Amino acid sequence: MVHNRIGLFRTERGLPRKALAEAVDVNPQTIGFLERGAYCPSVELALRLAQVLGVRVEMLFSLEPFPPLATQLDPTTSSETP
Amino acid sequence: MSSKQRPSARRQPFVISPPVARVLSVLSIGALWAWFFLKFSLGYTSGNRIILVGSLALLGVGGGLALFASRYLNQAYVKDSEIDERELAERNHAYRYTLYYILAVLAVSYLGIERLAARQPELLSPGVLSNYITVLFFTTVAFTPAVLAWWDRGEPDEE
Repeated sequence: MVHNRIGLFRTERGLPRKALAEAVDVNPQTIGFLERGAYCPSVELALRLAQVLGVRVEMLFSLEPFPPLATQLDPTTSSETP
Repeated sequence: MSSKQRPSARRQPFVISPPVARVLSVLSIGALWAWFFLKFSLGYTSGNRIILVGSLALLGVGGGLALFASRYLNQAYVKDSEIDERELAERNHAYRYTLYYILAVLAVSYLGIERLAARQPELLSPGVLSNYITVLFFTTVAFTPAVLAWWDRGEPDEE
C-alpha cells in the first residue's frame, strides 16, 4: 500500500482535479482514484505529480501512513482522536 | 509531439451514468442471448412470438449501441496512447474477464452442441450456427465496455 498526500497539496495550491489532471496528462477520474489510494501510480506519474505540485516525491508518497497534519504542526498534539 | 489525444482532454461522446450503463449492458447482452434461445426454440414462427423475438433483438442491439456510444467503448477500444495508465490497467483486467466469458461460452456451447448432435441433430442448422456466431460476436464486443461500466464508481471529474 502506498500512501499519498496528493489531495492535501492539491487543495493547498487551489487546483481543481481537472487542472491537476491536465497538468500530469491523465483522466480527471484518475486523480480521484489516486487521492483515495485506490490506484498506485507508476514512477513516471508519481514524479510528474511531484513536479507539478512542486514537492519532493517522498513528501507526496510514502510506504508508511503520513502522520496527521495537527501532529506535524504541533508535536505536542496527540495523534489519538479524542 | 505526436498527434495523440491526451487522456485528460479526451472527449466523451455520449455521457451516460454508470448505473444506466450497467442496466444497458445487462439488457443488451441478456436480450441478445434471449433472442438466440427464443429463436432457436421457436424456429421460424409468426405472430406474437416473432414480435417478441424481434423486440429482443432490437433491445439487444439498441442497448448495445447506446453502450457503444458511451465512454466505456472509448476506454475499451481506443489506442493505448489515448488512455492513461489507470484506464489501461482497468482495460487489461476487463480484457481478461472478456476472455473468461468467451471461454465459458465456448465450453458450454461445445457441451450443448455435443448433446444436441446426439439427440436432435436436425436442429443444428446453418441458420442456428449463424445466429450463434452473431450473438457471440456482439456480446463479446459489448462485454469489455460492460465490465468497465460495472467497475466505474462514478468518480466525479470535478471536485
